[in-house]
Amino acid sequence: MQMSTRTGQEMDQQLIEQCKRGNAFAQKRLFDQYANRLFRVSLRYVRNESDAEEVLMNGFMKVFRSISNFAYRDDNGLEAWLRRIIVNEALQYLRANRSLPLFQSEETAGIQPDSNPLPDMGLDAERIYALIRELPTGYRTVFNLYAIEGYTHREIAEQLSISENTSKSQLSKARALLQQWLTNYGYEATRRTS
Amino acid sequence: MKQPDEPLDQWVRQALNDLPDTPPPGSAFNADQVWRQMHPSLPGAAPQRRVGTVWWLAAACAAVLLISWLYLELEPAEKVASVTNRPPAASTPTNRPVGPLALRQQTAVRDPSAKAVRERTVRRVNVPESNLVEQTELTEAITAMPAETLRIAAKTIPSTPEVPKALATVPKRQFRVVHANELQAEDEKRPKLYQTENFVRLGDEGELRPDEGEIAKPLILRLTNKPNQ
Repeated sequence: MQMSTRTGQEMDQQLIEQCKRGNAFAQKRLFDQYANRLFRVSLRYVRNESDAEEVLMNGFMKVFRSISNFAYRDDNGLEAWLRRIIVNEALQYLRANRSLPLFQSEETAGIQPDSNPLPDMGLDAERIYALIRELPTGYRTVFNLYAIEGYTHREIAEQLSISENTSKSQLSKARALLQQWLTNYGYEATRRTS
Repeated sequence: MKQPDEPLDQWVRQALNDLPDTPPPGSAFNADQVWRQMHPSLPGAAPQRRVGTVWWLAAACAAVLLISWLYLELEPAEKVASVTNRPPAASTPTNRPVGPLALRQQTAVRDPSAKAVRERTVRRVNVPESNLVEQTELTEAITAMPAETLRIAAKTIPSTPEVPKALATVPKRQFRVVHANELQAEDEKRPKLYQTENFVRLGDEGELRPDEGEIAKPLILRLTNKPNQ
């Protein structure tokens, strides 16, 4: 098991080296390995699918342009680096399309998901993913950055050009709305996690 | 400093980690299609193409330069060869018309900027042209015959002195390297040929013949010492 992990790491390292040399085959392999996962990341920030594809493309262009500066340590490091680039690209896209900041005008009262996401499925990962995508842009962005990517409020404030207090309030509102939707689906988050 | 996670955050993070490595259900995302759109503008492919184009351009330029150099280098030699390989003008001076082309070729030989050393025929055998034509035809006919026919012909036909004589008189070209000045000196020794198309008539104004007047209008100078008359 340990042997196979090491071989996989060596292969990934070689893949990165080949990408640094501009090998198109290696670039395609790296893209295939992470495209779906990173498309989901992009779609969590940018609701529209074609916009998310654009974010993904631009993100991978940046990846291949700056891969010579990347020092491979392990797979987690590689994926974290790729995610960071995609997230930055998504934030840039939101800023360029004036989707941010939308925090002041949004009201939590009465917000419901646009459609009942995946009604035939149970409350599994896909449904939670769909509910996050249904959050308003401001809530969704702060919740994604804080709860999933692990940014601090200060970092979020810098990224979105807002105050830390705004970030905190947006996060608490996002949590409350998500909790409400989940409760409507019959889920108690506190009981499940404890 | 980041605050401790809410249970909801933890649970959401854990749920998202369990997501399959596929596009979301109902999504039309196609990774191959996105790759096809992205691939042409990727870094790495473009510099290779640029380098290839540069190499092709450089090769094309080098080829053009080489061809033009060869053309310029070989052209004068071919001209000289065509001039020197001509039958000598002295042998048939009256039959050969002296036109602008011939004059230009003579000038080319006399040009001091041309190469100082030139090839030139040395031995000139004066053979009448009719003889040359007959000899050539005869030689071609003999060489075209099959060997069997030649053998039979050699046995049956008595040898005539004309055929070997004709074959022997075919001039064999030999070349000698001479200085350009020698050529010039020889040319100066030769009787000079002048164009007869334009001339100056001196004397009284007389009646012109109609055909002369049509060809070129003569310049008529009166015989007088006073220039204003």
